[in-house]
Amino acid sequence: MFMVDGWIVDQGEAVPIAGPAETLCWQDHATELSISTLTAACPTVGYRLRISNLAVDILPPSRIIVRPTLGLAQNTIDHFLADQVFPRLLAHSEKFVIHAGAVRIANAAVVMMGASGRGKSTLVASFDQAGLTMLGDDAMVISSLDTVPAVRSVYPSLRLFPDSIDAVMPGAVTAGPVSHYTVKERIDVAVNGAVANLPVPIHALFDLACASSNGEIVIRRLAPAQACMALVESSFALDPSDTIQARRRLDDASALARAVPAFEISYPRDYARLPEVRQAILDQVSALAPA
Amino acid sequence: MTDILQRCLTPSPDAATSAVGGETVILHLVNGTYYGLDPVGTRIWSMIGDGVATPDICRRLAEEYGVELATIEEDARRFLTDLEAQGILVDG
Repeated sequence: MFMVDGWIVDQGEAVPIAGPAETLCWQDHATELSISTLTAACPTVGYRLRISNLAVDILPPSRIIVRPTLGLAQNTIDHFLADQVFPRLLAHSEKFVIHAGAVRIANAAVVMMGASGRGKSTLVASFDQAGLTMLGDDAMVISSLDTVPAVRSVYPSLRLFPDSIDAVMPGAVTAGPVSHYTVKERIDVAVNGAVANLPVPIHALFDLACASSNGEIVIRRLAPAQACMALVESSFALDPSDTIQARRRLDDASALARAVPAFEISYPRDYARLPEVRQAILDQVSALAPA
Repeated sequence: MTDILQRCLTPSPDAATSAVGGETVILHLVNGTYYGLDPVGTRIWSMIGDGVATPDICRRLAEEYGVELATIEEDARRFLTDLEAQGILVDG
């Protein structure tokens, strides 16, 4: 399983009910994810992330305690750590982490961000099947490479819904559902193996809009302020109520939006149209100055 | 109720701003809402930050953009009300 350097993961007792030392600071009603602070946990503030039958404590500077209810499948624990805990942990350690996928086009990365369900994984899988290199499909770390914004995946992965697998990667070997709370399945593909976690300069950002209703594929340039807001919305945070971290995310998003051209793409969510969508993106990217 | 153009408004201490390509993004650090200002909104925000009284802001914009004062006031009223509703502007 993917790990974050310097952190040790232990298993602890389940805590099915919030205790007095647990103060709720944020809740996502769509996913039932909640984040609480643990005031008496350690010398510095700790955090507890919860979904229905799993709690994970993050106790700086280096301990993570996984607290599953009895019988919870290991794939659910692994998925929750990779999908929620590690990206937020990295974000808390002053990395700018966004919910996005990315592919390598020529020698640069094209980043595709957007809310859950917008089709990031399907689109990057489609590029992968067309022979381009997929860098990741879910959480990406933004850094600087010789002063140029660069991106790498938090963890190399590809998770797709079964219908996307049938349409985009027919016959792919899957490792089963990634967890009990989603029907997405993990695909065991080589995600650019050895170089997956090396930063790649970013050539362009694409924000996946809602599906177009008229069947058209439309790309429009985003003003830097619009790109900045899309990046803020896509960013991970361990404690969304932490105002210092929020200010830093705004600064990071602003710097990236100033440095990299950003576009919104709207397209029909029709698997048969994916080659056209890819070509529209490739045409747009090739019209830009080299990265 | 007092017309918002007659009130003294100031940026909330919970509002973080970032200048992005002639425009401005404002993030409310506590409730997480964010707001994008176009160049005109950025100009208004700048004057509010400088402590310019709201009626003077409208007069200056009318001069700068050659637009009737009544039109500017109507747009400014809507804009400031929106920012106040988001908690980005507070009474000064």
